Amino acid sequence: MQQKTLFDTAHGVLAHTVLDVRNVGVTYGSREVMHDVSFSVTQGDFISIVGPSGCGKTTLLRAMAGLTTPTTGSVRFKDRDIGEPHAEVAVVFQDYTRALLPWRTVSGNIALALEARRIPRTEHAGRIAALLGRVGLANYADHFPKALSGGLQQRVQIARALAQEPEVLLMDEPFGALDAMTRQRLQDEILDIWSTTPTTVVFITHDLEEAIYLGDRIIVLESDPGRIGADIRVELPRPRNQLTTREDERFLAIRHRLFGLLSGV
Amino acid sequence: MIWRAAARAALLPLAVFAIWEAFARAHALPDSLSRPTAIAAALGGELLDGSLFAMAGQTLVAATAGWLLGGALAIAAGIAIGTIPALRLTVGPALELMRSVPPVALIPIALLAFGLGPKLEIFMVAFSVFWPVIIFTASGVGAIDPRVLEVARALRFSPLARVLHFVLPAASERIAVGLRVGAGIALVVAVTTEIIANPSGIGYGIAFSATTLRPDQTFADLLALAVVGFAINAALVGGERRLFAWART
Repeated sequence: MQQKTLFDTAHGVLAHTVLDVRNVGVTYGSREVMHDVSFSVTQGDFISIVGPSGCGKTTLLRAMAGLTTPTTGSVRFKDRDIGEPHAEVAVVFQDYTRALLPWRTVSGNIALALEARRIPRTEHAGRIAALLGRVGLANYADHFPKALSGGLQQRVQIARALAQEPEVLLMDEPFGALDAMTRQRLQDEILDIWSTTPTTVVFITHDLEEAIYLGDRIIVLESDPGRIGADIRVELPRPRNQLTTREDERFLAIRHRLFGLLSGV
Repeated sequence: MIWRAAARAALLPLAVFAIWEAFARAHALPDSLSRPTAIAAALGGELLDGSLFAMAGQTLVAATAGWLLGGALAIAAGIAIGTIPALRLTVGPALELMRSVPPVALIPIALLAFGLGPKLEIFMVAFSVFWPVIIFTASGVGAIDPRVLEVARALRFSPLARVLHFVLPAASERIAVGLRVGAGIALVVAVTTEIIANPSGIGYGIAFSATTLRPDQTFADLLALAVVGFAINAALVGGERRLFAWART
């Protein structure tokens, strides 16, 4: 089941804006890395943000996560400014080797999110088992992260983010360092997780095809300074399929358009 | 295999003892050097009457108490200095200055403050252990990957929980090295203090037997000291290996 409509059946209310990025600009010293970026994220959406390296994708995500305070403008979560990380907004970092704690097992790393939320200890085992099953790590509960492949480590980080039970999942090029096969498998898994939970996903990538394949909507960033170049709706049917979706004429049309935008053709 | 390694390791000491014994019997050595058979007899006597265990126990208790006290204070101070840049800039230079004082130079003034007894010894050990541990702790904290602290922030842990769940474990490998270095220093300072100012433990045994012209006992106590030091280091290395299994996969 990979279907989400404007009418969010999980909540029984009309979908509304969860994250509102308003005129965000970021300046480091005298260098302006982001200029007047505005867009809003509708609840239940899967939004891809794509752009060349150095366009401020990560800076934008950090501002949305409350990890960086924008120099100008603001990011609002449901009508309140995000100044610090918010309980309803989880982050999946690109560098899973650094974002996982090497001294904690797979279970221990997931437990971190439960400890942060002060979930009673007695509930940990059950919740962790469910999350491990969810991301296909049931057999790795007691392994240390170092002993796992990159794809498995990134699954641990995704499970930890899901343990936060966030409304919004911010993902910063999460599959950028993985091989093509692993990447495709994880793309389908994240779509499956998204479609079966009431989660909104903001997914940053530099891979045009990944952006189209995953998203309902693609925000294209241009660089120097980072700014919105285009905001494209993706009208591709779900569930998406690694073969047929990527061969769809509409997929190719968007790919052409993105390629033109980002290569300046 | 183990027996073979043990036999090979015993080769050098046995050869030294044999030559030593031969020279001593030929009266080619001063009496103050005693001789291995006499030392073995003294060691046997001290083991049988329990006096060696009592002395080793006194030294171990005082050294351990000082090591724990100095180590705990140094870990707390090292984390504070490592995480608060303003604090590092403020107290850093003063600490560097104090660190350059050889700890045993403090014995006379510590003697005035604490008098003869275990308090003096524990203070001396704690002071000496403090320095390596604070340096290794602060450097361990300084070397923590910023991403790890960002994860702590993103998960919204309280400052105390960040220290306990992130900073302390992330720096733990270096802290352990500091504690192991500190343990070696602890034994040196404990025995030095006992020789100079605290009449108890192996250090006092060594000083007393030498001044009463019983070099056989002095050597027996030195041998016991070597065994104690070796055992402490082996225990700490083993503990580290177990504690940091996650770092070696």
